[in-house]
Amino acid sequence: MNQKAILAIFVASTLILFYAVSSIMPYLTPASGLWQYSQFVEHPATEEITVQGLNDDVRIERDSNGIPHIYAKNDLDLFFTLGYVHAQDRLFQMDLQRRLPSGRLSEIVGEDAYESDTFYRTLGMHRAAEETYSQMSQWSKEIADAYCAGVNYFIKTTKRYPIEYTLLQTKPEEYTPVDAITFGKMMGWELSGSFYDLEVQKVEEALGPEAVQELFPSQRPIEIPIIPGLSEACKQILLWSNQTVRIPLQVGSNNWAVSPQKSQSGRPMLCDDPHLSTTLPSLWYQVHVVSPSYNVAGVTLPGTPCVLIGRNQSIAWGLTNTGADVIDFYVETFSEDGTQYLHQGTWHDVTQVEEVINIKGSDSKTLTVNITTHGPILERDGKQFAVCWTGLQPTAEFEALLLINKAANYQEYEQGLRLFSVAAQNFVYADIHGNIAIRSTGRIPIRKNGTGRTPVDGASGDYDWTGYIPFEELPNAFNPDQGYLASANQIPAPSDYPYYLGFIWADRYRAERINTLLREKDLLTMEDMVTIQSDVYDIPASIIVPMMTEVVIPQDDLEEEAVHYLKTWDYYDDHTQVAPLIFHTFMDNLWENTFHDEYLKAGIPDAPYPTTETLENMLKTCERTDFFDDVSTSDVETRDDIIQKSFHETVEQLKEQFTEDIAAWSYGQRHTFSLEHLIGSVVTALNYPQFPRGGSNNTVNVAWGWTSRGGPSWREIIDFDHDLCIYPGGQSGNPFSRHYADFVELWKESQYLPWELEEYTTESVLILRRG
Amino acid sequence: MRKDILGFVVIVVLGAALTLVHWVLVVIAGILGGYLIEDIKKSALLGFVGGILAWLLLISRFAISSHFGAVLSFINTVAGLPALPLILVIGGILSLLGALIGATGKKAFTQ
Repeated sequence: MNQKAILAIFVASTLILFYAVSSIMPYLTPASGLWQYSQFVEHPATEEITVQGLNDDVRIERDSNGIPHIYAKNDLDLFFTLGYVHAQDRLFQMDLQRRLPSGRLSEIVGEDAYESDTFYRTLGMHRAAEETYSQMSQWSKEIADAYCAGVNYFIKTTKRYPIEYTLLQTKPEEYTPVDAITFGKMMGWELSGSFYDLEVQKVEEALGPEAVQELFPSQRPIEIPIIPGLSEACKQILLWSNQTVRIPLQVGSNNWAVSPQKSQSGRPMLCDDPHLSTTLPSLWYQVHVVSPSYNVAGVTLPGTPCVLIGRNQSIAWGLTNTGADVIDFYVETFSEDGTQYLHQGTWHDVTQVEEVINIKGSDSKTLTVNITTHGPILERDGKQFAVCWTGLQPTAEFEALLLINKAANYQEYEQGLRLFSVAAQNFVYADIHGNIAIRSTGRIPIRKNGTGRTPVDGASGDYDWTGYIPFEELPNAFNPDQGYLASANQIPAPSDYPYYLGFIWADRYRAERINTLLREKDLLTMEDMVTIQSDVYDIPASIIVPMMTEVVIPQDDLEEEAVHYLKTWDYYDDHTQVAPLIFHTFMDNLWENTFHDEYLKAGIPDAPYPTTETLENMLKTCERTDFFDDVSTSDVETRDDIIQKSFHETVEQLKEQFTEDIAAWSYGQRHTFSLEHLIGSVVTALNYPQFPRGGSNNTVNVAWGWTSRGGPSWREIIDFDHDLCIYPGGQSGNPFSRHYADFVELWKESQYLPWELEEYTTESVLILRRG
Repeated sequence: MRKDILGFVVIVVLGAALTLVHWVLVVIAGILGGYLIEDIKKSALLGFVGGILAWLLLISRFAISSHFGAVLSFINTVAGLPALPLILVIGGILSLLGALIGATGKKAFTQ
């Protein structure tokens, strides 16, 4: 073989090697690649950056927990710096969070996100955000602009984007106020947008309206009142409420406030723990920001310029989701060519909006969105509906929160609440003057007719919204005689409340437990607040287990032992105990054995089951035996048959999953907590290891499902003296930082960080010098 | 001997420098080194070792960080392979092939 032929072989081999390794080299190239992320993991101990556009110097002190304390001499510099700091620690999260609701994920992840993008582009939160921005007051617009300028300054000047960009081989784009508003609306959608109406319709079509009324009743007894004048109703609940409603919620929250008269320290106390999906990095980012107008501390949503939950020098506040019905689905009547729709006897042109979806690695696609007077047309299960949701209108949450952030008293705070529209929230309040209050806020529609629980006719106009419940008439309470106020996503007002609020309420259990614990002591302490937030007492277990053990006839020694564990259980969902494992596995089987056969027969196997409280009521009253009968057999099964069957299956399952040594079982072996990174399903190395977790759906310290991916996403206990806080995560979005997940160990043990605003240990100082 | 040393130094130093521009360019350093070394077997050996050293040199900038262990462990998990030896071997082979091209190219064109 001559030299040229050999040369050709070497050249060809080189080219083949290029091709073979080219897909991994962007990650592994020694010039940069992923290796570079071993550098600049933590913020330097001291750093100065000259920034063009600042009006004055700004000082950022990060404490030993990575929490920034920002000291600015004017408001615009403050919000510029907040944007800069958010981007420093959470840029990728912010980018992802704005892309999802804007329908722009395909641009960085490709075709896989096209379906998601199509949904969000059709819904049009970004269009509503643009309208919102155009209608914002000048002062709040300036703040939003300053915030985004800070984010963009970081994007332009940083030497290194977060590791996720290298993993996804993409780069961040300019961040805009519309992005920030769109993300705010996304939070509103997560809390108040849902397709339950359509699910309920499925059940109604398959099983009839009676079944819907039984499984998801629209009328319910007054539960634990948010308004304390309902103390009779409260007693009624504590005795026994005859039934409840709900569809399982994967969002929720607890909050309460205690008056100085009921507080051992003589200071008011305020507690809040919003139950949301928990991820790494956390949804929350803790800050303390100081300027001439603001001195506020709490948690922000990275990508937005406000403290959502927290305190300032005078007031403290927290939120729970109201759960009001703020979304309706309309079945429209279209002309044959689909260009017009009928409304109140007149044909109107369908508004068409073209949305171009850019897709990484593929050609762009154009989507035409049709919009009627009720909203954009969405397709679900082959049916088309116009979606009318309060979040699709211009709203003013930023102004609302900024006013709350600097409020010095209840009156100023209430000015902010008036502007808060989406999602409807229960704001709990306490101030240094000793006042406590709670108020439902937000736009809750008034309908001409009906409740919009299932899709309604859009052509007649008979079900249109005519306005919103006036702010003054939304449920609220101020300095009640009982000395405390609490909410846990229960129905906010009694049944004689003049407006329809909704039908998706949380079971009464958390509210009942919180109220019980707040009531049972004359004077409450901060330790009591910690105890309540970490409480895992399982009320439904305390009701259902005695019923169950009375019915069950053990078939063998193992079942005998299982019954013994249940009978001696204290009803705390402790992850080290055996009994909660048996109980919650039993409940799963009970649900399946009670409802699945009917649902399957009706052709709706995936429709939602009623929640624990409804099932509890059915067990207690046996009002309707049809659901207990297994329709797949010729026999007629009773409640007791189903309990016996479910218990037997439970023990068999657990024996198979674990061992026959029941003493070796524990709830935490099956009930775990998962903290996954935003792209953790792809890059599992970014996830936090799963760990055993106590609690359940119905405990104050909530944990959803067997592998819980959500729960108390932020806990605050404020008495304006020794405040406490914690969230499951850490301040940094950098997985190699010591602040990536450093709060998790404390959080899982129900421990807290002292919330220091003045006396903290400074870990790093960054000065932004005016350029 | 002098040419061999010179070729090796070129592969290591130029290889590291050009990799900063783009990883593919380590082949160029290999070609130049191989051209200087001339001998096919020596080119292969020195190209391979030189490529490894060039990339090791670059990665050592990051290895001095206390976080390097965590980053390496992360990369190993993501790659599903021991990434450090893998990348060094890739660098070595690319450089080796470059050196072979350089050495054989010189012979082919002088003939």
